[in-house]
Amino acid sequence: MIQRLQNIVQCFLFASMCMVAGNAQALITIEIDKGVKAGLPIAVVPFANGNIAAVDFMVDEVIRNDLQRTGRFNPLSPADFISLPTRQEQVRFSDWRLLKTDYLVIGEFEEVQSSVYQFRVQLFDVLTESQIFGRRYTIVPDQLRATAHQIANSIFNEVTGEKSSFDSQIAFVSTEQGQGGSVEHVLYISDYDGYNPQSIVRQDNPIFSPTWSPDSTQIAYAVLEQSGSRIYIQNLDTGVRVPVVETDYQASSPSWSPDGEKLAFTILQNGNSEIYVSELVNGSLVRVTNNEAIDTEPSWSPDSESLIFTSSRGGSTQIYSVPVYRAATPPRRITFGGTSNASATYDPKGENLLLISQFGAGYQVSRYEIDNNSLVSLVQTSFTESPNFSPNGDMVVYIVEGVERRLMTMSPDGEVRIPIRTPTGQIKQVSWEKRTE
Amino acid sequence: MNKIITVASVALLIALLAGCSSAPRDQYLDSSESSDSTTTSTTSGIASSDADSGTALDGSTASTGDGSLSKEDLLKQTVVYFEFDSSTLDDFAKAVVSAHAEYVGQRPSIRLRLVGHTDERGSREYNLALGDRRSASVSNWFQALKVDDSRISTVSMGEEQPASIGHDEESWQLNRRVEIIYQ
Repeated sequence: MIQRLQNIVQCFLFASMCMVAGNAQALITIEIDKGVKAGLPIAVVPFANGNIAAVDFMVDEVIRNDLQRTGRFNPLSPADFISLPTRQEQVRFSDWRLLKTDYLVIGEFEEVQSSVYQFRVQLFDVLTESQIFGRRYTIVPDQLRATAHQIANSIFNEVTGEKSSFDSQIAFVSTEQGQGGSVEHVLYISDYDGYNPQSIVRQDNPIFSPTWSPDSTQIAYAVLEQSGSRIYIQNLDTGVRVPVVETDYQASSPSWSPDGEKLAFTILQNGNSEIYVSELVNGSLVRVTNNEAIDTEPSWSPDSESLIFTSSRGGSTQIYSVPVYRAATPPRRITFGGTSNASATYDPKGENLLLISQFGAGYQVSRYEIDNNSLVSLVQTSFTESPNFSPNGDMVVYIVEGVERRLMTMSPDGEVRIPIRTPTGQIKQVSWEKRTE
Repeated sequence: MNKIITVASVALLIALLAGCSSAPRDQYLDSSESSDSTTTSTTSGIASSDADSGTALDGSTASTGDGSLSKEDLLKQTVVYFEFDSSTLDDFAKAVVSAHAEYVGQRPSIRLRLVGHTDERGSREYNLALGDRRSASVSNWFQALKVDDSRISTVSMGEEQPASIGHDEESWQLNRRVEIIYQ
């Protein structure tokens, strides 16, 4: 794995960390750019009695991994620890000052009855030698990952004053080899870090562009059937799906508005692709673009008033913006740098775009700063796709295409990139849920 | 139906003869100096767009410069190819479509299914739209040659069904295509 990454990416330092998780061994390779602005050093000490037979992970590793993925923290390797305290009276702050860590996390599991655990965790400020918080949980193994993400979120929140997205979910499309060598197209939802994957659709036809309803109860996606592409909305509780628009033409690229009321999508009609918006309450249809060139990949502004989309109307493929309900206002070109730009989404604040920009022969996740028209490449990997932000803006998920197509998270500045563990298959598209706590 | 199978197998044979070692376009350019064999020129799936003599709109002429093929040979071509991010038919593609238009023009029971494809570069959704443009582009040429649009169905498969699975130009140029299927 390391070798393969080095083939793809040449100019990075590699910090690799072998995570032995229960019986299963998972190799996680963390890529960190040279000259990275160091995250806050934090020591998360392996928890006492943390090797719980019912699960294939260590809670302290989940916490380190969460914090690392944001790029805001630099969790130190336990191999470097001088001491391994699990209770407050065992903590010697001088040990941690020596390691130049700002924060210390310790904890302890106790099996209070069969498969019921009491878990105690504390966060300390090393400089002031004071406790920032102490928590106690009574949990069963099924809740361990969720609790680990919750603790990581508490740490993130206490130290940065911001909220993390560690407890959120992603949806991703994968192609897998089915029985008898056929190709199966699968839509999964999972924890943001790839754990607890559930396939919600498995079929012969390609699945496109999953998009979450803002309350995360439904997902819209397109299916490329033999007769053409259709959009469906699937209820995640019941599993029932219904077609969105009855049309003789192909429809794809759905995007759910942040206010939950509208679905934008592309209709392909006799070689002409145009963007439409449907009001979900009454199924009304409004045409938003009208141009002979390719117009597709609509994505909403955070206020649900306008769309950005990919268009080749100017010759090269670029990102444009258009208000949805002001028919007289023509689309405005947003991006000017790069050979071509596509697959744009807003950051949660609506200030910058995340997109795929073509650099030479490569397609790179990039940030487009709207106010000063500047394009910043966030990855140096040749082929990347489908970038989008976590609901709280603390991470970005995207696909990197090497020998395989894998899911990755990166910090918003692109400097810390970590693979997401997924079921075997080629990942085609990914979408992070929008719901925030 | 037999016709489809025959055409498909001939196309496969041609593809095998052409091999994967060099690009159709390059082959066309390379072989443009050597005047001879029909077999070689049959492999030129992509003709240079500035080739000197084009095809008459009425489909009566199937001349593509020195890569000139008989109508029968043109009919064996069931795939037309495109440049990167383009849905424009080059002269050779036009000659192929013209030959098919003439053939189906005399056989009103045949319906046409045109399936547009792209290479893997660019986003899936953009490629779905591009594949749609390509199939429409071929459809428009058929219609210009008096094949009624009620006999034509178009669909885009985007980048989902590559003809060749490699990740380089050799494969990509085989994937930027529209398949002409008789039904």
